[in-house]
Amino acid sequence: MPARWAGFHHIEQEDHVQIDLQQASERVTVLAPKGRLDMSSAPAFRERVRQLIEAGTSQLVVDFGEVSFVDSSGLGAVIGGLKLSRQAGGDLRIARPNQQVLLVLDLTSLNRVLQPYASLEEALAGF
Amino acid sequence: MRASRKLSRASDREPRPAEEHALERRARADQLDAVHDTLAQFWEGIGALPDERWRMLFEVAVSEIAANIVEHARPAVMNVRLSAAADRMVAEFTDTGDDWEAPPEQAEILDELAERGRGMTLARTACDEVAYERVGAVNHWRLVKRL
Repeated sequence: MPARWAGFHHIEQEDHVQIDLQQASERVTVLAPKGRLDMSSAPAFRERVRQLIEAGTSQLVVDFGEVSFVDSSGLGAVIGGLKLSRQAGGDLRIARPNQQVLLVLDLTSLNRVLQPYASLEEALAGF
Repeated sequence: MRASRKLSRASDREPRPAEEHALERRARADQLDAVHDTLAQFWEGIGALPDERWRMLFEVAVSEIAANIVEHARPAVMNVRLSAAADRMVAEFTDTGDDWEAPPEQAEILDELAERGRGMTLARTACDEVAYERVGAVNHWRLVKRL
């Protein structure tokens, strides 16, 4: 377990993008991006998910609590993370989307694939 | 069982100075920041605001076009002009970047888990008109959302 986390200290911080990580339980990691999850921040998000999965964590919750805005690239990156996590035998859920994020999920019909949870607790339950 | 995953595609990655890459990323992020700032200023200058959902839809379309321009046309300079009329709001973009080659129109996304390709559909869903034309060396985008 400690070895799994040690790798994260070597991650380069991308400009403009802050993604906090929190180990919610032994098996689940919460990613909390901040600000806009859009075309400019999507690559850093994808990379962070990739690193987590390579390090052995495939059960992920993306906490949208501090995400102000999402576009199709941002959601595409979350979908990419979902696919990677499932390929690794895990899953990815999203929690606490704001009105803007809910709107884009609805417009793209991605709320079927990325079922939004209103709270972190609900998203973590059942993992 | 975990299958081996080739997560890095060598063909997509050219060796380039880390600094140059970071500057490009920052330039793209700055351009998108500027679009969002412009939208915020635009709303501040309007007396009777449309409701929040309407504004969000307009912003979604504007952002998708801006991201499309930044990602594909990669211009050094992009101009955006937002205007309000009695019955509509309009966003006009011009840039001197690369020509935009439209992907084939898709009535619907067949792959539910597609990671790319939703942007234009999203813009067209959120707004009433999305038009593109190239005049000489200049790309022109025009978005119209009726009130």
